[in-house]
Amino acid sequence: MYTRRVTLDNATGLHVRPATAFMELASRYRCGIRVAKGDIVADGKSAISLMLLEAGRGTALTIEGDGDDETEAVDALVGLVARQFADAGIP
Amino acid sequence: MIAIEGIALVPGSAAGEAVVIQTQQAGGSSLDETREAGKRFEDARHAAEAELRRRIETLADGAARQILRAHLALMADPILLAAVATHIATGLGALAAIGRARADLVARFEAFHDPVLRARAADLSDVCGYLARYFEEPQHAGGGVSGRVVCAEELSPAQLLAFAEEPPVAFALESRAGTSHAAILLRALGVPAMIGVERIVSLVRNGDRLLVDATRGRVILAPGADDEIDTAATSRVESDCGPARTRDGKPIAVTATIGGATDAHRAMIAGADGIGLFRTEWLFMRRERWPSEDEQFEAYHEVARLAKDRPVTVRIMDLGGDKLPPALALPAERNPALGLRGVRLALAYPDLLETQIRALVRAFGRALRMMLPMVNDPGEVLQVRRILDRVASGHYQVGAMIETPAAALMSTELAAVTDFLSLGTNDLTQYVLAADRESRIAATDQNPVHPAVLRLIRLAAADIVGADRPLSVCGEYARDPLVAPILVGMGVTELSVASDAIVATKRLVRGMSTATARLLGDELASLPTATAAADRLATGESGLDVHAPRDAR
Repeated sequence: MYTRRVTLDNATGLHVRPATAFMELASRYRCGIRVAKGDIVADGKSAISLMLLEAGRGTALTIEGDGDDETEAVDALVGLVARQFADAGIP
Repeated sequence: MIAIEGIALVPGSAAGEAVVIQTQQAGGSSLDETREAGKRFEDARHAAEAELRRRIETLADGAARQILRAHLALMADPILLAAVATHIATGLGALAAIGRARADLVARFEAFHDPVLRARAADLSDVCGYLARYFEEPQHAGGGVSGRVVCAEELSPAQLLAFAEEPPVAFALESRAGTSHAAILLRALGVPAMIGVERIVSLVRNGDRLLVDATRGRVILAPGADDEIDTAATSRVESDCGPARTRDGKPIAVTATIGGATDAHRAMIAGADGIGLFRTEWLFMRRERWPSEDEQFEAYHEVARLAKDRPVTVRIMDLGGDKLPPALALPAERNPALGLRGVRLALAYPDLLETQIRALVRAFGRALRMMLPMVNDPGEVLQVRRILDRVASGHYQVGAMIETPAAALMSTELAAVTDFLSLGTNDLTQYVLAADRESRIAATDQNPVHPAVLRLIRLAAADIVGADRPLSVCGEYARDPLVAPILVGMGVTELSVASDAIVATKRLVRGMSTATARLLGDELASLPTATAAADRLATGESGLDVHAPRDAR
């Protein structure tokens, strides 16, 4: 299991398009991805689950991978969030 | 030629091409049906995905395209799929399961504090909307239903409400639930309808020619020209414009229950003394979007125009329960009959209610008679009056439905704050007896009239007559030849029935005497069981003379 923390700094938080971009990237990896906001945990491969975190701008998230490609997956996802989803073409 | 027997629900006859509508209602929960619903949902999802992909291709890259791409992803989201699968597993059809999943998810988003994220409820609602559209678009039956015969196992109230604007020429249904809400709506649509037509859905294909001859209780597959001419002669529209007075001279208004302009037109031809109940629900049931004030005005104004100088009683939106409008994401309730519905729901959305009231005041002006559904006490009436006062100055007539036991017991107080009252006997009966009118199991136990219901109605009617307010009946009892006279005997002065029953109801009124009916009502109310009341009614020793009424004109 591999875990990293990251803060959401994009304008809208885990809105529809950021959540979808996150889910799409997470789905490229074989490992399970869980995203936690405090005690609430979402499935990183479900955009609806991510949106239900009600994670607005400034929310601290814990991204946890569990599987053979966990390090690669979590680092990529942290990168996506840290770059404010810019690589997904979201303003 | 094949003839299938059935039960005539709305008399008349009509021929046309068949449109077979597959059942989407909550059905049995057998494994086969669950599997079938699951498959239909998958079909809907694939069709909706293909449609969305097609739309995405037509868009240039930009925000709109990104949003649709996100919607495409949400449509395959495990949370959504699991929610639909759970509802299908409980026995719901695919469309109903989508509706529940939509309501559940939307409710979760709407509980958010963050307004930006809360607004994502709309995306979920859109996604479920694409899925639901697969079932709703009439093109799956090959075009609209106008001029055709709708065949189905059974139809939900929502499906029937969607037919109000452009009804088919006839219905042939397999189910027999003659007392259900669907039956009431079928009567309101007024086109020939047969129920209990066994196996019609498996015998008929879309486009087959059918003749529904409800007058003789049969459906004819592939009718010959002779069959059609033969029945055309018996399906002439009846009309009776004269006033109806009882044998002892009491005038009774026989008015029509309608759902829109088509019904209103039919009712006026039949000779209705006015519109006793204009249900406005269909306006809200058939759209994904809430209708604007102007759209509502157009619909109301058309009915006002058709009614000319005859009074029209309009009931404000009576939603909730089994009538869930697609534009309002109402949370699924465990017990919708006792949930947010009627005036309770209208007052929970004061902006929407105010829009409707504005449109009504514009359409009817001073002649507006506005009726409130599911009222429990004067508090709700006064809240609506306050909205009315904001919209327009001066006095407008407001009435309340007596359809909960609370309203019946509070009728003196309700009479003090209203201009007229109306007994909604269908809901009143279901609430007094705690017997769900949509439940076939409970319905088989329901005798036409229970002494407990009669006692409560008698009590309420006496209070209302004592307070000098007019009392109408707008439930199924109003057209029941055995029960309607009893209600008139208790003080009812208006019977509101579907347009196909106007002529027969006037004839019934002219054949009865209020004094005899009152005695029979008292006798029935004093009996110990519903069976005893049913037996007493069936003996026909009431002096009501309902079978061979004398015309008292």
